[in-house]
Amino acid sequence: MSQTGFVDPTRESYLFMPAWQKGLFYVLIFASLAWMVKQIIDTRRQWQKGRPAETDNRCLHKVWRYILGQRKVQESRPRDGAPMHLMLFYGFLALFIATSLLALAEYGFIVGLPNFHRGAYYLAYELIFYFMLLVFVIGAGWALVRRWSMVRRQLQAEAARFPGEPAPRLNPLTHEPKDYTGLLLLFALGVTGFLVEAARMKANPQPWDHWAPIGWLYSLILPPFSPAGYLAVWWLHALLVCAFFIILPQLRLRHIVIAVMTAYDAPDRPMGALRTIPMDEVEETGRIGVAEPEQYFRWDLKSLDACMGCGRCTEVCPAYGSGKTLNPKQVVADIHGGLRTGGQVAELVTEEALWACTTCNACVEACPVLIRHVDLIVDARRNLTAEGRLTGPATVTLRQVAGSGSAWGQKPADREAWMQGLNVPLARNTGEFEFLFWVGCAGATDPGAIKTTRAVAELLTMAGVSYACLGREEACTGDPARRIGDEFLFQEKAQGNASVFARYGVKKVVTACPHCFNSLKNEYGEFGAEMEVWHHTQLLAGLVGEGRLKSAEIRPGEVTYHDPCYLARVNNESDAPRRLVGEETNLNSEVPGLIRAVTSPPGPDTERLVEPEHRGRKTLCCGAGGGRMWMEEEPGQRPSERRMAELAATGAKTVAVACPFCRIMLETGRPKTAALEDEIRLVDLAEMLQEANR
Amino acid sequence: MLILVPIKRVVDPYAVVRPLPDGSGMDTAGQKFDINPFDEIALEEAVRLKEAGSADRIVAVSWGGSECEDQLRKALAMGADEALLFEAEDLDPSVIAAELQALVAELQPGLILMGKQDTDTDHGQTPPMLAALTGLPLASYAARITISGGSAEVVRETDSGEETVTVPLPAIISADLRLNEPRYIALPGIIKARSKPLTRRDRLTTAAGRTRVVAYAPPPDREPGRRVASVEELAEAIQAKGVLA
Amino acid sequence: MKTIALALQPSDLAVLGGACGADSEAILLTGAPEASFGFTTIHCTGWESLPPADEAARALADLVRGADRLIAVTSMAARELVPGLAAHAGAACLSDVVEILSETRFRRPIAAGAAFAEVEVDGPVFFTIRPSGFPAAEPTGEASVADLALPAPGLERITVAAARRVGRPDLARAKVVVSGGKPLGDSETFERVIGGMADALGGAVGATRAAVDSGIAANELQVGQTGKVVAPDLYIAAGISGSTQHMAGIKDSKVIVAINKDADAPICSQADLVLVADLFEAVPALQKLLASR
Repeated sequence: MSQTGFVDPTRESYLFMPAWQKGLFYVLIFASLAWMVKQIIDTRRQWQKGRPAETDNRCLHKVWRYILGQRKVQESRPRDGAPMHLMLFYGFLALFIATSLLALAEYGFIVGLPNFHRGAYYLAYELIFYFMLLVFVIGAGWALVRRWSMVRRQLQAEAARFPGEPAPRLNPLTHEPKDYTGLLLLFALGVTGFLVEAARMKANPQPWDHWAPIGWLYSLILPPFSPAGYLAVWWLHALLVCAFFIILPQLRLRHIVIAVMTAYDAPDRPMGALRTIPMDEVEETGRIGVAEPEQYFRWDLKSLDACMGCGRCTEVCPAYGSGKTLNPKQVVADIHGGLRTGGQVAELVTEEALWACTTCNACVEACPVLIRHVDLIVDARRNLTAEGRLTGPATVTLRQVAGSGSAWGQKPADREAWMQGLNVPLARNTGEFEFLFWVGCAGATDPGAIKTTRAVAELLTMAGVSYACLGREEACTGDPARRIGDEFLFQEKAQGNASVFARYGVKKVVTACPHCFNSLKNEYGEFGAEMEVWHHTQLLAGLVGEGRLKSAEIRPGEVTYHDPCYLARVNNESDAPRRLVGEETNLNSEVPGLIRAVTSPPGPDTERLVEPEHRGRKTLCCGAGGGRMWMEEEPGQRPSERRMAELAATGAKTVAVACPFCRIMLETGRPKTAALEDEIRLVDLAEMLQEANR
Repeated sequence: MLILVPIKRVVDPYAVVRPLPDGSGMDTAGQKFDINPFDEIALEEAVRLKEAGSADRIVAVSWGGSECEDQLRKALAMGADEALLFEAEDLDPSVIAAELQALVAELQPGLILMGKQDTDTDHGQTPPMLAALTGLPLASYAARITISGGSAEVVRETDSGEETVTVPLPAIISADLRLNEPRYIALPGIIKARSKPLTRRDRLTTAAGRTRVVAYAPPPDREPGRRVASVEELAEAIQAKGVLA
Repeated sequence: MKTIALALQPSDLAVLGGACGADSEAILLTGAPEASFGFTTIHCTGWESLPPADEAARALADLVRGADRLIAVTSMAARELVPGLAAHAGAACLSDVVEILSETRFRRPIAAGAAFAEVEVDGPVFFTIRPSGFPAAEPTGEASVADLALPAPGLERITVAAARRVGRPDLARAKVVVSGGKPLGDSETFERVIGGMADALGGAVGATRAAVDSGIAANELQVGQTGKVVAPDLYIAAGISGSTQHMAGIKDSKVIVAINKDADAPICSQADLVLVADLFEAVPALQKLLASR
């Protein structure tokens, strides 16, 4: 401490503390830290049972984006979960920085640093970090109150949802008494932090104490403190810190550590690309996909440990939301548990739940710790399919994909039937063309989708775009096969189609089917088909922008738009479709500010288009993806009904779509009660554009 | 108990094949081939019987060229324990029945489970011919099979509804569509089945076919859809189609 | 050439009489003949019902050995009896012949009707015929009947005899299916209009997914890709637009009839017979006309 006449504001570390107590403190704090590390290493041993990663995905950028930027946290639960967590997180982070700075000031002399914990720096330190402590305490208090009210409200609601089912298994939000322990500990840490400060001010008052106003105000109402009294309070706080370290790995709070580790080497594979299984791997292991938890990759297993059970995945799951037993959070918990207890994934999770997934990726998009539920589920499906556990209409689809090359069993020659009267250029008859117009099975088979296909062809001709179709040389991309779990049927189709692309030197592809779009864009590269892939709404929006086509005129309130999962979420395109009806939106962009989600929750900002509750990357699945289009749906458990009800609630009489699968599903999801003449019109954006350009 | 399941390789039953322009055969270029769907049902049933403990071994057998190995691999992947391929050509049901008769004498199966017909020739002759040649009891068009003791109770389809028969084993049972829904076997399952034995052998008899197809012709064109103006015209048109019994 | 007509039941005789030509004999397995249909003699087994096919074949083997031709009308029972007889007699065998081209050459459909094969046979041939390809014979007076008094072996194997199902036939196997869509409105109307038509034609009732979803029709009636796949001789679709999923379930039907208000409905371009009309008027009218035929 400065003994000169000029009083330099600072505070003494370990004030009043005898050397043996200081020594004891270091022993305790390092011991508890070591204990925490040991527990995490033990957990890590479980992940290490998994298969090593094939590629090195380590990158600090992901820590910056998902941990420090809290990108996912900000995007959901804007009223309670997000602000609460942001306060807790940034409060905690600030306190972590404050402690580190203090240690650096104290022991910096080892590396030749002077003790800088004094003067204006010290005053600013006190002001800023005690403010952040307040933020942290409020966050912790909020979390406690939220959990308490949530436990009562949500758990009751969920119990009513599945009468007779054991509630925790099916809840998006789960609760155990020890969840209170973690939060109480955080809250107590914060409160005793202030208490230590106020007690110090009482025991050793200084003229600059008001720079930490909360502690200072607090000290005003405290009785006088002896140095021993201060030390007692200090030790209380220190022991709570030790307890926190020791207990952390056993609580949801462990995500503080493991989520950082998960983000650091999260796979860089796009959301829309499933992992390719090499045939060598199958010959080597004698197995396809994942039967037991240890057969997942290490990163996948680590991500299970990072799960803090927030339930954001389950909240957004269309299967769960339509009353099925699939609960993505429970999938994570079941596989995680199976890592310790052993067992088959299909038994832990149940086959019924595995087949219920639409691979819409809503859970993946929502997960703050980057768990890839769809990978977990598809890997298990791959094993089920290989073991002959797939039955029902989906098997017919796979046979048809393998046989005629159409998911609906259409003969190759009939793939050209939709062209009647249109003079569509065929690749085999025409020379050069810029865009390959990929029609897809639905686009060539389904009467509704054929309208879209014809509209796109007409618009391309009208705008003078050089294009051609493959006609009977086109075959299913294999997307349904891959997502149902027949990986090698997908690979066979991908190789076949890629060789056709190579034959015609295809560089650019446009398609009206988001599932084909996704597969061609994200999955075909591995099979030698590196192409620019456009969804028809993207290409058409470009043509509108260039003035080569007019956008569709709509009257306010008459039209709503259903974002397809594989376009809006998986491939982040929500603006181009809206541009076709003259709306300029900014839904594709990342969240710009840290607290945008809090200050301006996403809501309608389009003028004429009426928007449903779920839109953009948060769109709600129609239920067709993941091969569900070809699986049995119990009445009352159809995602399409829920989605259609939401779209109908906008009051719009026209639902614009941009995906043939969505169109087929929404068609069957129409409200049951509506009279025929009140029925909502389902129309693809391309058809609206076609009308506008007639 | 050993179950013998004859397998026929047929063109993809989900594809529509047409005769070649010169009528010399069916145009199967570029088509996939698969196990005859009724044989697949028979095999599935055999696998289920084995899973239920009613059988301990399943032998799948086929007659034809080396290309039939694909279908036998699939049969192994579905759950057959062993596959036999007899290299032969110019086959008709009478030849298959004679060959099967010899194989039955050799293997002494407790049950011969076979498809009621194939989907390419649509004959449906082999099961009754085999029954005549071997003297084994026949239960055709099975919709449900229960094995107990030395007999099989078979619910079978007939022209006038379901009938239940009890046949002593060994017996021949032919599978109808409703018997079960075969499991889907993905390609790598077939590769995995490489470790199971598939034996190629010379055919067992010198039986020669009694029928041969000399020409294939397309069916008469399906009449294009017709708009009728009135209910009366519709009623007449329906009657003219001769589809009302 | 010695031709034997094998009639499983008396109603087969008319068709066989047309297909066999003069100087043929018939064997009638069940029932008694009503007329001669041109046969010189009709041998009756005296069976009350058909024994199991393998037993029946064995019982008849000696009677048919030596015949150059044996002809039966196709049915599930005939298709399992005739091949057995052919095996016993060492004859060639054909199923579902639609045309006799010469003494040794026959035409028959293959691959579910995707093509017709011309088949050449050596030596005697036993075959079943599809009745639609052959003109029926005139009854022509009383038959000369010979009683064979054959034992009917193996009947004890049949523990539960087939009985015609009560009520409507099974949807998946019915020869006639009448289906309705959502425009039927409610379950009473559906049953009255669609059920009534089905009963008049002895057919089964089907429904679209939309109709099932709306609670108009029962779940098990759903026809389509994810419901039942049907292949009747006659499929009547009333108030059905013809979604892809629905059409996938009916595409193998022989004759598809669409009755729809909307001439642009997809089903109208795929059906064999289309009547653009209000189904509430057209269906009962059609029912009356077809029932009175």
